[in-house]
Amino acid sequence: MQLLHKVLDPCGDVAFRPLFAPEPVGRRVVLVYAKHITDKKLLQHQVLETLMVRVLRSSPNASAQDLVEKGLPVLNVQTVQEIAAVTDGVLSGRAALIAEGSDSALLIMAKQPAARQVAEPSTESSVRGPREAFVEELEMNLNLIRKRLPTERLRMENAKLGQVTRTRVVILWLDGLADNGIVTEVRKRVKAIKIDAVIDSGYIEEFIEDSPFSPFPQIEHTERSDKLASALLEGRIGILVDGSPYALMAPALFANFLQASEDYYERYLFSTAVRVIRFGALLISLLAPSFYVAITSIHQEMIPIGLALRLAGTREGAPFPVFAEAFLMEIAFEILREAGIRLPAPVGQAVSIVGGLVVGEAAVQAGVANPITVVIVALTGISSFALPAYNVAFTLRFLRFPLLVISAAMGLPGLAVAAMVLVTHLASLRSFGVPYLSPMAPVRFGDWKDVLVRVPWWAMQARPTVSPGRSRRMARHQKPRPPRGG
Amino acid sequence: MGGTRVEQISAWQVGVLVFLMRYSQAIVSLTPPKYTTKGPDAWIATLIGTVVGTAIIWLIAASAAREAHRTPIERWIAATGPIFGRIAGSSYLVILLFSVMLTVRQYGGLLISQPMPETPAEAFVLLLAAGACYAAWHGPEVTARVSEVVLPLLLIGVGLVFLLAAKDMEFRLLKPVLGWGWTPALRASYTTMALHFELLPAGFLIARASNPKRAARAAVVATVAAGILIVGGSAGVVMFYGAEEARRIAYPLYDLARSVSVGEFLERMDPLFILTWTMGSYVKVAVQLWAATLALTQLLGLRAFRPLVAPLTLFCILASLLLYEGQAELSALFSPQVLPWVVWPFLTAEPALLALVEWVRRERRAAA
Amino acid sequence: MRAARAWFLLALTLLSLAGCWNRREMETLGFVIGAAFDWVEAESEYEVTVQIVQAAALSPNGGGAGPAFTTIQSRGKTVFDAVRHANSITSRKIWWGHMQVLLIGEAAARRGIAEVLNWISRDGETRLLYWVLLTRGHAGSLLQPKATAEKIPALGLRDMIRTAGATSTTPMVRVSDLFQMLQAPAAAVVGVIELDEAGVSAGGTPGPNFRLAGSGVIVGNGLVDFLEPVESRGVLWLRSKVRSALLPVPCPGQPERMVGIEITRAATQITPTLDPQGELRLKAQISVEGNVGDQDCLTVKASLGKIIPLEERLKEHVQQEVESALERCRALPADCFGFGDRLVQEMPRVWDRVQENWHETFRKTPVAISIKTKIRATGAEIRPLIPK
Repeated sequence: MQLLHKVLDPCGDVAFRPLFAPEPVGRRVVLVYAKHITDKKLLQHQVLETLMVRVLRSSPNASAQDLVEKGLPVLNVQTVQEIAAVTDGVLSGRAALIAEGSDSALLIMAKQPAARQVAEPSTESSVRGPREAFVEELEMNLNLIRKRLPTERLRMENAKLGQVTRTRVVILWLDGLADNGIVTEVRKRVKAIKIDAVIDSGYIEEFIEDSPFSPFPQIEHTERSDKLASALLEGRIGILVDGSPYALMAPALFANFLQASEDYYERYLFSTAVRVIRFGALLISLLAPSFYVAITSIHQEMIPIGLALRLAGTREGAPFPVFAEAFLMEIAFEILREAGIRLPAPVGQAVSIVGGLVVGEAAVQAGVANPITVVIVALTGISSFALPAYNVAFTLRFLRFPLLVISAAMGLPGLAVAAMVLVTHLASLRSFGVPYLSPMAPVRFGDWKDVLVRVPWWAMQARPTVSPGRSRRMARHQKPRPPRGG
Repeated sequence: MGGTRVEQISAWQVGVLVFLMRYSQAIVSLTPPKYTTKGPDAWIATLIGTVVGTAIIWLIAASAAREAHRTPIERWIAATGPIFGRIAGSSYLVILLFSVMLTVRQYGGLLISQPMPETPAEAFVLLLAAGACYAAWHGPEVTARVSEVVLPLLLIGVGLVFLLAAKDMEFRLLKPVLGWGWTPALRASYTTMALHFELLPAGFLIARASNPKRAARAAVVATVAAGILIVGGSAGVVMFYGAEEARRIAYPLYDLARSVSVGEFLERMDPLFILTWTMGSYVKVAVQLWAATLALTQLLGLRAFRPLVAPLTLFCILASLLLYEGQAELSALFSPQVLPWVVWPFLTAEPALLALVEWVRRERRAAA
Repeated sequence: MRAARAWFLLALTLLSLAGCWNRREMETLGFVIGAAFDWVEAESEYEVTVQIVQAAALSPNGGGAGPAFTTIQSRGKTVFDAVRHANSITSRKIWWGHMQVLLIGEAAARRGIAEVLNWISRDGETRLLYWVLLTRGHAGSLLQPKATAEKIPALGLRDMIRTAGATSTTPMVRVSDLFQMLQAPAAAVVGVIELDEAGVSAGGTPGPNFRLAGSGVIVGNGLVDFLEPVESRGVLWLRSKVRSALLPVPCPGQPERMVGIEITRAATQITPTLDPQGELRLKAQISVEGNVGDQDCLTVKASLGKIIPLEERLKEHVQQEVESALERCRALPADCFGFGDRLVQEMPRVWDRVQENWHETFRKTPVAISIKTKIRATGAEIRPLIPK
């Protein structure tokens, strides 16, 4: 008891509530709890009331075991022997029940952390589909997942990471659908993390990536519970981190970053068209400025003559070469974008839109920038927002700049070689052993039905090859047909 | 990161790689129209050349498939002992280095002749070699995946050009077919036959394939497919320009891309053509560099090939610039008089010898 | 791994830092829209005239003021020499990437067309799709600022060429076609352009403007002679290049009045044959289709009795045009029609025999012409407003 006091008193938020057994033995029992993080109602009703009113009166010599089994109407009770476990438990929101002279303590789960309500996703909105987003509290997140997957095949494995934060991390997968090798690998990597704090799932992401130096993410993250559930159903593995509303999904392939959960809720024609547009947006956001600079600086013959004359006309007396202009405008746009995120909501919108228009317009009026350059830069920026995955969009924005430099120096051949190097890099990436560019390369035709196009649900009979065994997920011949006869 | 694991590529990927290697340079220089002395029979020349070349490739591929998972160097060493085997195997190194230098230099050649004349050829050589070096360093698996991405783009790019040019093509211009007999076509076919030497890395690719027999088949099919497209290309060029003009033009398909337009809107597709051709050449150089590095590694008896990639690339860059100076020399090198003689021994004699030696050994072992 | 990546990045950085050799900024370019090559006999020099667009005048903000183009003239010992001198006269880099039209003066064409075209066929800056025209006399003067009332003459010229198919009296020749023709056995036939003092520009302002005026015949390397518009059409009949035309044909029964037949389709098959003595004979089969455009005699109706004689008249008309062209070209002598090309394609051994003096041989070779005409329709009405 002394030790406990010594360790926990300085914290300032731990209380020791003594309970006395009224009967002759007069055993002193103490309830240790952290004041701010525990559910006081629970402690008062279920624990104190029960103990004080009933148990200790009737059976004062009840051992810890008896108390657990017969006395305490609380769900989560553990028996521990070490001091460290007691301190750990108390600070994590459990209440410790220690009897004087006893060598064990009971830890009663009484945690009531402050947490948000389940709300709409803030970064991944969609027109159609569920809108439940994860919150920071792990229990609530697990709630959201379990209610979507009430199957015995859903496995959850715990881990505790971070010496100071002691964050609880849960690895989820569907048994039989997920590749066991990948599960083992994920488990191994997560448990190998030794760090003092884990604040967000992003910390973990960086530790378990295959290629940390690559600008491309190899793990997906999402705020949406439906997306995580779908990923688990595809045979992927999810990681939930206490304190972070973003769940991780591995393995993540390049194709995944182009998919939005909405694609699966709308009809396939629409989704296919949207996917194609998205892919176009990807190419634009990466290549448009470089292409523009290459063509207007070096390969002018490719521009149709009317446009060429128009372009030359607007560039009369322009102070900067096209490359410099494009570069500067791109940087300006990035600054505006970043500023727009940091500002509080009502002001933020105004800044990005007004900033973009006004600054661009002013630059054109001042003759500093070419209106066509402004158009290209704006288009590029907007295209990057069309991509559902924020991390990939950022990667592309970042990669745009080296490409711009190379295409200004060496024209289209330079751009082509640089693009090839990029493709090579993508081809060399693996996400937990799965090649990043599958199913385009290496070619797996069976998986093509979900990459650029989205084949109707009744045609997606087999699971993607990430899940071994190409299991069938639905019965055949479910394509809707008009009723016969009649 | 897979240091000692031997990488494996699928048969389909071998096919794609071989196809790209054969096609990507051919689409630009299209040598037969240039060397057909009389008449429009360039396509027949290409046909003959392809048939012979495919036969040679079939020999190489089949013998490679039989000695599963062994590169030609290893096979030489296994068949004739470490000393002689290395000497014989070094011929591969020579020809592979030569083909790298040739491809890279040609790449520079086209680009400085037309679209970007002020840029020094060294820049393009450096650009392509450095880029491809990265892919070669990663190994055949990654290069194979890259090639799978490149293949459709290449086909679409070239196909588009041909589609747009089709309306100006006339079958009549292919006449007279064999009007002057077989001789002009035969003479011009030597170059096409000889150019199949670029496919020598196929032996190395098959050694790294998960299923060598299927990979060998894929390689042969790819050679045929590329050959067919090149025949079509030669015919198309003659149909568009006429035999005389086709003979005159240095880079026929490139000129074709310059002469077509989509309505009056998109004119001069040549920069797009450059894009697709760069992609094809990238893959080609990557494979050649990898094969050369692997050859060197095995000749020196080392384990990992990765450290050697960069130095070898550097060597190739420098050597290719010293190889020859101007376009005239390049043309001379490719002419039916020079190229076949230079390349023949490597292309035919050497693999045939290897196959023979192996066959003899196999017979002896079976008899014993 | 690190080493390789670092090395590669270094290479790439070096490349970018070393500078961009081929970069040119668009505003520094002088876009050549039209050019003219001339040979000045007195000085033994080439003269190159280029019409450069003033892009500023065309820009959406602040354009319109000032002339839309400038003309630069320069001389040199070779065409390229002259072109280089032109660069020294103007502050912009003369850029040929968007050239639409090339005019070649008579003197230059007579002296040797291959020399004139030599530079342009080598240089990568030019496209191969621009139009080529000959001029009687000096070509450069057609591109001078006061020469025509067009805003940008060369563009107007290009548009005019595109619509030349309406009368098909001028062959529309792109430079790539010209190259092909020059290397073929037959003579090359190129359209001719001249200035029409009393014309009207596209914008409606009266003033001098271009006019298509027949064609020029180039045998081997040099211009030989000019053909009138109608004769040119005769050539085009045989070359199967007539797109459309309006032919006035005498009315059956009223020869002093004409019916205008609009030609919709025309195709020609040329076949060289050997007669039993082994002599060469050439055969041309022309098939023509047309509609009744308008009539001055008001007697034509859509009835067989009226149409068939009309077809006969049409046949005679075409025959006349073709024969006048044949006569004219034979006199030069020149195979303007592509007979030699067909000979190479069909009978290469015979070609080997006769290729020495083909044009001479052509003059003596009989050509049999057979024409088939068909009048398909009479437009929206079956009989005229007030029939007679």
